[in-house]
Amino acid sequence: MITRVQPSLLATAAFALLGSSCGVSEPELPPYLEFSQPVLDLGLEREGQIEIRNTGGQSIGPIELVPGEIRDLSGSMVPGSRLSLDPTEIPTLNPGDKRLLTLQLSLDGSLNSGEYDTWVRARRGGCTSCCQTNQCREVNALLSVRFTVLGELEVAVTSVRIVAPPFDPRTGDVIDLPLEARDEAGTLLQGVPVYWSVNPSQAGYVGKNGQFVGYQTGAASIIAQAGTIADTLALNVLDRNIEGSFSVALIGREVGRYTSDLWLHGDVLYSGTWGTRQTGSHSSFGNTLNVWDISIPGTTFRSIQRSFSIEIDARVVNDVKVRTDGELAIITHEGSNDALNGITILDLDNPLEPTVVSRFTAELESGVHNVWIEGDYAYLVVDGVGNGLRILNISDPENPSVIARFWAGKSFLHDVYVRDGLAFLSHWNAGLVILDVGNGIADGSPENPVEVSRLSDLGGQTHNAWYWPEAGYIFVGEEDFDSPGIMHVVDLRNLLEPREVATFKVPGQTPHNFWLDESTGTLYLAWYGNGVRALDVTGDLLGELDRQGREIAGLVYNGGSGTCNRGSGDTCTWAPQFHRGLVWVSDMNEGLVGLEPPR
Amino acid sequence: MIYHLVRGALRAVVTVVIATIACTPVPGERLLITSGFTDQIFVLDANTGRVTDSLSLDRRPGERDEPHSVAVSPDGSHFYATLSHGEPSLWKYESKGLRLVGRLTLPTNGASRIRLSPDGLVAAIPDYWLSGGGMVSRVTFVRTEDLSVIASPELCAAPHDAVFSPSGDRVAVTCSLSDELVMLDTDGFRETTRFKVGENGDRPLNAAWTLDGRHLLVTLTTRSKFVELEVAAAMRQTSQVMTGDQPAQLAIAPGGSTVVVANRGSGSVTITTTDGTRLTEIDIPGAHPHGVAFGRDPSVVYVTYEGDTRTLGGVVAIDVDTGEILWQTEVGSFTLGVAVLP
Repeated sequence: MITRVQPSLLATAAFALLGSSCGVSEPELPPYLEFSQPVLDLGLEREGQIEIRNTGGQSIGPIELVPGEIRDLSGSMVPGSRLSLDPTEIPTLNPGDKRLLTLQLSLDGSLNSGEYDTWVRARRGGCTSCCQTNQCREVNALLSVRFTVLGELEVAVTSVRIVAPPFDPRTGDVIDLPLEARDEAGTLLQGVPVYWSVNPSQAGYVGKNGQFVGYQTGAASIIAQAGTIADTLALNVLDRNIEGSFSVALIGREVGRYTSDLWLHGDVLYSGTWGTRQTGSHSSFGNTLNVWDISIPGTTFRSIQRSFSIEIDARVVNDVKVRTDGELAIITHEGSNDALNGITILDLDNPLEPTVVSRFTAELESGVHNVWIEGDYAYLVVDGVGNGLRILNISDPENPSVIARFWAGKSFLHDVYVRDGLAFLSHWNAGLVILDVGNGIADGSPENPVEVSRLSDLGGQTHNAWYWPEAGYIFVGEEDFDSPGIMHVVDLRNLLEPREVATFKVPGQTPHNFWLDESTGTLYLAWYGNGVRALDVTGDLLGELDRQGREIAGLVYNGGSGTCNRGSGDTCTWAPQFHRGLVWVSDMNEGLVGLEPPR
Repeated sequence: MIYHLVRGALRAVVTVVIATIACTPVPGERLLITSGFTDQIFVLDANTGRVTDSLSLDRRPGERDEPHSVAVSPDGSHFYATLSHGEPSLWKYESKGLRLVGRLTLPTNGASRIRLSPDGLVAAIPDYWLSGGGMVSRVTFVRTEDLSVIASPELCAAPHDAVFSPSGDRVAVTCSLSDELVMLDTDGFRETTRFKVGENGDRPLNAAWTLDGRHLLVTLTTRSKFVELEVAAAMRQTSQVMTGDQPAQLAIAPGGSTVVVANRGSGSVTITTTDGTRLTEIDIPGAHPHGVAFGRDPSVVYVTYEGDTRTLGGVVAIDVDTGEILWQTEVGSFTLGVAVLP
């Protein structure tokens, strides 16, 4: 008696089964979470403690403790400031048990004076497949947190004037609003703490130094208060007036295997494969690199032709990269039979039929998740806590050698991006780490990478990054399937002091990989079940980009419930690449989609 | 208890027969099976192999989380699983309703097998950190009641298994990269004995205590054998039994009369008796046998196989008396852990 179980069906069935198991009849007293008080007023303090209790009749765990964003009294989010919690997760709370939670505020140095608030939500976690069902999410507790920031020179101010800009801004335009504060003698005061606000609050955000960005069109009043004196500036915010849409141009179907990352070079598209996929009674595995000729049409309307494939010893080929000169590519191994994993280097003399040059496994046995190629060097992301980055000299592709290593001291490395002699490490819960690998800012080199700076406080689960040196920003993906995650914009104009200045979110799903078309300032974001998004990132960036009319277009090309169910027909976008006028995306379920860009 | 058995001479490859059920696993028992590359635990009817339920441990659906091991509390009320990829974690479930009731992020780089103390109050999870290049890593001891870490001593390079003695007063830790066995006293989890197992590179991987607590059986994964160690102030090897290639897990049947070893490399299972009178090797109809577990019936053993990069993993039930395969279920990918839920 052989029973064959289809993982894809099981994956689908698992949701139903879990739904039903989550929905089994509960005892009379379910778990109940509550804080010892509903509001914690920290006043001028920056740290406090509170108890969380399970006053119900059942054990509950894990309990996720999620801090909210910090907002001013007008309701605008304050970038650069954050509430930290210890612990961030409680493994379990039995009936009657309680745990002490420590809250710590990390505030931007020059916050406006005034009152601020935030919150902490405690909720049952870990029930990812039945998150939407009643059992998982209804057990939660909310704590309101308030605190106050005071200025020092406020009392001396007797007059305040906001200098009006010479033009009306569009939504998303960041404008500086100079402010003149004077004392009783008419002397211009320097360094006076100013409390900025916007009325109505949803009209926009104004930062600590009087930088304003509009969120909606129409009238907005900008209020600056120094001490007890205030001035109001009336602005008319114009429509950003960008619009566009994606349209599907070409499709490369791969429904036998799940598709992972992609890379295009010349007339060829390379795509990896991922995990275990069941089609009927047949199982296929992520052991293959697919090669597609994008120069000729396929056999069906709007299709491209898969011309070649290479099978390697892996259950996941998570990443593929082609060197800029197009002469070689590297693909990654995870879950190999021989437990050696590592990478395979491919010769692209015939780009449509790559040949294996070598497989390299030393120090890479736990698996390689991502790779970046820069000249004679390959930067490899090695799976697992404690492993981190390996830099390989691949000048002799048949005999690569490890020349350097780096680990951030906590968590694990997830991705690497190299540009201008800087390596940007997306280091999961260690945050974004910047290494000098030849830039010169810290005397680093590929053989001797030197840490330049890191930004640890990006909400954790730092997944991927794209650096745009011309604008001085790096776009960082937070892959959090629970909250869900968002995209963070970090200002890198001072590489030694990276600071978060803006965010972008799409409700319901977490982002995955990004690609920036720098010629138009269009950031393409793969967003799993929310498809692909195109975002206008021109100009200065501040605040919540998703509220500024900056999203040019978004396309959920295959429909779906926005849940990215593997093995279904749902849209499940993994990675974009802008290439020769088209935005190509890899989709776990569908394969490849070539899109006409929205601008 | 000495085995004078040589692999090959006594190897009896039993033709695999997908038999009708010749003996019957205990009715009502269920199997828990981890699937590392679909991020699931499958629940099977131990009597038929039919999949009755599944649990998603897919904390990050776009990433691999890799459930590795599963263990059931002695009273059957809870079970525990480790996730070894990403930041390793320990998950706690109520058996009734298969309900998640806790999760702990472990303070280690990796996580391999879970072992529970005989009273079920403590779980031991070794940090099998192979890529540490031989750096000393830890075994974490967790109080199962509230999932608090009791101790996390640094012990040796890449510990893989940490098994409580039948009386619960000691824990034997296999150190795969340093070829050692470290004995801890559970009163404080302090090291009491350190013993060199085999030769350099033998890679002791998994262990099982004999029921009387006087001996340990340890698989040496690169040497195609398991060894018997006498547990004493000065430990010594008392015998060895040749197995198939790359022996992974082993288990002793209830009652202590039968030992079963999964041979990952040769795709087989070694069945032997503790008095050394019988040694059988059975080919498994699946790639890379790995996990071994008994339920209450000592005549039936459950063996998982990992599958490979072209085939699914799965589990077989074997009649240890006849070598017959009672049923086989293809389920999961990189299917490692197995435990029996009463």
